[in-house]
Amino acid sequence: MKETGLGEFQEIVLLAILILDENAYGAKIQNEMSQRLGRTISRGALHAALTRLSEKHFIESKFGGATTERGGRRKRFYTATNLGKSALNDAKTIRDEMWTLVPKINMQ
Amino acid sequence: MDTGSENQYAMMHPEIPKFSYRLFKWFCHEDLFEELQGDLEENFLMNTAEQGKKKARKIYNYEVMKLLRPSAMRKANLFPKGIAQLSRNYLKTSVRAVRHNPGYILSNIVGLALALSISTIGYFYYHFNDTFNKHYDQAAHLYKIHGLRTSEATLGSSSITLAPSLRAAGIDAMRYHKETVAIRLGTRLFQESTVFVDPQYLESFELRSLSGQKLRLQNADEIFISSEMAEKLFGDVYPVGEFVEIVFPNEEERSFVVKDVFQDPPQNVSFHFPMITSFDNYLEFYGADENDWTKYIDGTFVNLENIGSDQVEAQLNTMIEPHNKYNPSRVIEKFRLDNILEWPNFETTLAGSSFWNTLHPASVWGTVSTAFAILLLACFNFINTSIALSGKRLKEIAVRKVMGGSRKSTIAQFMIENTFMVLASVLLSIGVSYFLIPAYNSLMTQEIVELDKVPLDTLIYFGIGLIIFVALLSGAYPSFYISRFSSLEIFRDKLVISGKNKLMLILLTFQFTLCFYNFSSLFVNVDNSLYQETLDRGYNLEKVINIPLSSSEQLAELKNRLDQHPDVLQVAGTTNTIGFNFRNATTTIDGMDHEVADLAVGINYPQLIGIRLIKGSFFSEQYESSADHIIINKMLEDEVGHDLLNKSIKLGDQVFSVIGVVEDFNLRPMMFENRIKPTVLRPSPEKSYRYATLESQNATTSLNLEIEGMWYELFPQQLYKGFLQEKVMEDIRATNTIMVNINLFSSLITVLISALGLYTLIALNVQRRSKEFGVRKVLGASKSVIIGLLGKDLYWILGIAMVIGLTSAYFVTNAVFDIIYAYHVSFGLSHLLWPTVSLVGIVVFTIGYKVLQTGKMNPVEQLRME
Repeated sequence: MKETGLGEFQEIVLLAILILDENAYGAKIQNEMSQRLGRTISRGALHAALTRLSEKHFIESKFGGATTERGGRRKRFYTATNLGKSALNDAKTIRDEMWTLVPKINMQ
Repeated sequence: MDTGSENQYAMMHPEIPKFSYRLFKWFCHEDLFEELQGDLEENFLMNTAEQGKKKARKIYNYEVMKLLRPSAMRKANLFPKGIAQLSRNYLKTSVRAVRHNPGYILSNIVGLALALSISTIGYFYYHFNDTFNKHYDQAAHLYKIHGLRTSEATLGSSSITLAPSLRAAGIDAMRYHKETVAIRLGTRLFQESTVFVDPQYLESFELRSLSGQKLRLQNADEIFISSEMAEKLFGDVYPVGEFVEIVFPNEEERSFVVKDVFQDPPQNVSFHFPMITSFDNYLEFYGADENDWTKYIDGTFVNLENIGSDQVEAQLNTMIEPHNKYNPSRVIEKFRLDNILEWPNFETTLAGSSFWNTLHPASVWGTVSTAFAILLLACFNFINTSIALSGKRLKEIAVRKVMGGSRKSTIAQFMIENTFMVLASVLLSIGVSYFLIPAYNSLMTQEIVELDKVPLDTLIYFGIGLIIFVALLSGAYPSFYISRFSSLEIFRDKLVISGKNKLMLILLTFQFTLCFYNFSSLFVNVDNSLYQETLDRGYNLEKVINIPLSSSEQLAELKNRLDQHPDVLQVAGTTNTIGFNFRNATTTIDGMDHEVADLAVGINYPQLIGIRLIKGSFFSEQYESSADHIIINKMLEDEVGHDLLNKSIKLGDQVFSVIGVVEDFNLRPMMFENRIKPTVLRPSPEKSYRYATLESQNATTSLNLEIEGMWYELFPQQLYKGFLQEKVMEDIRATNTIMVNINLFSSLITVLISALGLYTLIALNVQRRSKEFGVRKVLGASKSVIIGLLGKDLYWILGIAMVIGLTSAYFVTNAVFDIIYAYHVSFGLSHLLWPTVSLVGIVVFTIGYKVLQTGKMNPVEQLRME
């Protein structure tokens, strides 16, 4: 087992980026996450997570072309790097391994 | 990471909360702004569609708040570094000090907050002139062409041919001309102004759409309108593609397609217009010939970005000769180029120019100095209360020192406390300003304080500067003064801070001087505005309506209809109307020349307008029999020095015989230098009538509307421009309102702050001296002795303040009135008496109860305290 350095929130962000694939930019990621989690995610919180992720080189980003619907501002598209994907994989493996060790969940 | 700096003109959705947007733009890291704002905006649009505008705005504000985190913030120093490390103990002590005297400290904070808000207003005044026309990015290269004349005022307007001729020489020149046109809305026409410009104007002055796009006129039938016009004409904020129907003076009606809505410029620019269209339309609809040197337009501008001014001047020099040849009455010495940043300062002195200009320096410095005086007053008040309050904390200081605290630490303690109080009042003043600024703007005729048009960082730097200034001024002295006390004296109870501190007395005197000054000028101003209202103009100001005619033939038709109206008493045609236009002329009497105002009027006009005859008669009913008659005013007769009735006078080449002498009357709005002049009235032939003037029975505003309807039945293609004779009062009323309001505003605030301060001082004085009063009472002092003791210094303070305050009010208001008004009230006894009575009343009211209570108090209570 090794340390992935991936927080839970960051993990969800990374997953959202993978789900959205080609179309992963700020507002989309934010909405995707809000929908999946069933609660509002602020753009500020997302920004913090994205910054951490790029610091760790788990994601890359580049600007798209100019758009009309957002006042001519360009979107920044995020893609997961190989490092990011393997970190995600590691995280999943760790969890799966741990799940196999859990005998049974009792809901009371 | 590539640098995604924000495209400078990227659109901001008009519904987005402006303040949050600007705040966000200010603090957000440049590299991140485009992405983040784009996302927020996209969400904003989605939320607007899903949850409505209000909710979406709320979410946007919240999101901006949540983005206030280091990783998204600009790395530059938003706040000055090295704010002193605050020890927790200092803070604790400060909090305790506040808790013990919440009332006094609150009053201090409120006073200072009010003053800070006023300072902000003062700053905006300064900012208004300082950044006038700086709105235009190319301002430094843009120049207006003026015609310098030897003896007369410089020409602000210029010939229509100037720009095309300059352009032929490769110079980037542009014309700008404003005209009043009629816009059709249903059957009615209404008056609006339209600006006609060369395409180069839009290029150099960068007119932008709401979304920040540069606007260009492609076809002559296109028009750009302001959002206010959009709302007014179509009830729609974005009526692109709609049509505006304009009726031109040649009765031609045209449709213009609304190409776009432009962004409103800030108030401090020279160019304001509700609609703008191509200059070709002016040429077409006004029958203007581009080669006509005698045809004048509002202004010709040149852009010197790619060309030297000497080259342009050389080219202009070649045009002096043709200009003078065709304009013998407007001979110029040379053309001069004036930068658009400079020109607004002397715009009012130009002939034939009608652009917005900078505020009068007196108005700016008046406001700034009033604001500064109020700020000083609040600071002084702060100093006084701080010192007075510290009297209760002497033991604390002594203990600190005995325990080994240095004087430095005591100073630090008080400085920190005071800085916090200043900060608290800054926060409070933001709230106060929020309400105060709109209120203040509504008092003025022009919106000078435009919060959302001022760059936020300027405002913030100003705020920080102000805080430092105020904190140093109000915090430093008390801290140093208090920390000086020796602990030994304090413990021995030898040290007494009474109200006897000289500085405190001087500061309080200053405060009340300001109060007296403000009160007195308030009273004079109110009195003066009443005086201006009731001042005899020498003619009938009410119940008269003037209707400009586009041809004299209209009069007969109009008169016919008006005579049937029950409210209309009489109708007369005239060429000049008193109060609005006249000609300067020279008349020769007994071989001597006299400068007179020459009014060409209709036969019945003098009676209708209510000019009062002294001797002789008015004109007879027929023009033919009166053609060589003339009426003069008393002033002209006095100037000549003998009876002129039935004598001959020469006006120009014509000889007239004087048939009547009338009382003096005013020719213009009575402001500035517009005093009564020697005047002649001569009859004008019917064919040169330019106005129909009528006298009515009742209130005239509603009648004017009625006549407007009548007019459109008669002349559907002609704009109705009727106005009340009372319009003469417009400027003077606006000025009066501003003067009274400013004075009222500053009087109330100075009195409020001073009263708060005075109350605090007296209350603390009473507390400190309660034992003394107790002993005095026990020894037989009466109530009045105690009251006398408490008030002793106050008599002096009020006395000195009264003398200085009233004297300076006398000189200042007189000087200001002399500049503004042709006639004004003179400063009298009542202007000294009333402010004194009311101010003393306020002082008594403020401290009276406290003093009386102290006087009445049972000495046992006072002595038993510890």
